[in-house]
Amino acid sequence: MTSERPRGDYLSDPDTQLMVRFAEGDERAFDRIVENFRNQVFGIIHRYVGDWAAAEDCSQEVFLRIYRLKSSYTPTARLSTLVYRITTNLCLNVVRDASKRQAVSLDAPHGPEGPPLGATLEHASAEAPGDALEARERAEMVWKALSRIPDRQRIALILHRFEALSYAEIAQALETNVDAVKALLSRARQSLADALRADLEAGNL
Amino acid sequence: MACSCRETLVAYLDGELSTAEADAVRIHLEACEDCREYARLLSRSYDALRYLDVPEAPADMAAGIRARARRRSRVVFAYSVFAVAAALAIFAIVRAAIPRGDVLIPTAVPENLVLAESSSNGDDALDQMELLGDIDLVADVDVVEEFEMLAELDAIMDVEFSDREATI
Repeated sequence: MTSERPRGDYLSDPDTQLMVRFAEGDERAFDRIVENFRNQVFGIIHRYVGDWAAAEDCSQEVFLRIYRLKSSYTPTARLSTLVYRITTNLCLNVVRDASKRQAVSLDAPHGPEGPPLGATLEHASAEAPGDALEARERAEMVWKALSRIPDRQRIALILHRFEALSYAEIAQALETNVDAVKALLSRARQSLADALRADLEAGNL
Repeated sequence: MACSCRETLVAYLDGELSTAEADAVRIHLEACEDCREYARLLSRSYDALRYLDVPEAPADMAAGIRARARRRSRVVFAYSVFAVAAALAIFAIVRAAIPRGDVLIPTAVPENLVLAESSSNGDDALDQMELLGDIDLVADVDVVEEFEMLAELDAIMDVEFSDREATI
């Protein structure tokens, strides 16, 4: 079941308090905000675009937008809600526009001479070197299946799977309602399952 | 054939259904082998996403963001200065191009300017053409009257000539 937080709970949230301090002129509070969220933001974007440089650039843009809120910030929700909302909006708009400009095909090389999108994914760094190639192939299989899921379904799935957000929290990030999120995730999971069915049954994953 | 429960199967697996809804799906799964199999596939494919582990984000991100914020502020300031300078330059050019009242403003309107204006008017031109037509008509009438006068003169002369012959 979804866990709705009591009204006004966000004011006691440490990250929200950091943002309030930053809005009051404490620049060090901004460093703390970046430190607390950088891996989450970078992880969401990286899994969405599958490209390290684009993820870094887009992550900086997320925090730049938060930085520019300094003079006008008024807390109305937890800071994490704001961060997820900015991140998903950027993923859905900026990254999609960039993809259109570059006319990137999921099967084609990324850029004129670059490797396929899936091959840019770093993964399984803790595994033994002998397993690295196999892990890389598995990552490419999964990336290929994930990247073919429509944008909003994919970002909802990433938020649920990797950020462990509830349906209600995903709805806040996507500025929609819980029923819509339920439908998005249902379709996303069915698409993913259908795409990976053959590899799962063959024991490749 | 896919069961209708597949729409709610994901929410069931995610623990996002109410107790009553979850009970309904559970009862269905106990009876439906296809849906049980599909639920297993959904779980395994979801679990496979773990292969997409991502490296840590760059540690010095905050410094880079501040630098970008400062760069962007400078660009905005430069654009603002340029816009103000451009506006002032345009104002100065326009001001210089407009003649001052005590030097060049004419006190009387040239006559030919009025004629040129009136001749350029389509209605005036039409009136003038109609006027010319009227003049031609008047001229025609004059010619006819002159002919009639001449004819009358000839008639008078004939009468006078015949009278003179009669008297002779």
